Amino acid sequence: MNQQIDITIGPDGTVIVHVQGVAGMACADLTGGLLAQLGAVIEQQFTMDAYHDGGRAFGDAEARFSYEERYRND
Amino acid sequence: MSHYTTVRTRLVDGAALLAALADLGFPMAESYAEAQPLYGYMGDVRPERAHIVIPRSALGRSANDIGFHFADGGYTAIISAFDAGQGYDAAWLNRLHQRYAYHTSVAALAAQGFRLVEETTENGSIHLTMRRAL
Repeated sequence: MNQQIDITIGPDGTVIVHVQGVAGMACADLTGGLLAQLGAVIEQQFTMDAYHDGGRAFGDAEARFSYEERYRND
Repeated sequence: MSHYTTVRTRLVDGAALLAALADLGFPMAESYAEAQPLYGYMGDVRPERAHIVIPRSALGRSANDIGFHFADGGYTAIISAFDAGQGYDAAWLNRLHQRYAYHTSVAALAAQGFRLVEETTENGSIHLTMRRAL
């Protein structure tokens, strides 16, 4: 399995980080250093994305965890 | 004679700031451990000091030095009113922030084993996809 991080950097310096394939608080650990260098977090959102494999939806225990953070340099 | 306007930014990493300045055409910007005085267009010493300086010679005939002063964990841009009117304004600082964010993101995640697999630009936004195998 791959871990993927998608980063969108707006023309005004606003940054959106989207982490996929990383369980629980490991997400926050992963991006902690990055956050410290980018500036203040202005919005943080955790989502539980249940995903499908061969037509079968995994239960909560196997749900893939993702989260998104938005922050901005002011 | 012109005066300086101080614009508060949130640039915390000097190396990434230098890389961002190079992207905007200022690879000659210099970094100092001790803050240095800024110079005006007539060679006059200004009271403002900065740790990272774009020399006025790189900016134009009538330009003053542009500086970035480090304090309280971040850099503050010091740009004269004259130079702000020459295009080194809030929009320019936004572009600088964008390039800064690019360099900090790629470097911080590369250090954790992620590699950049895709980079696209759309409507002025940069989109990066970084991945690592478990």
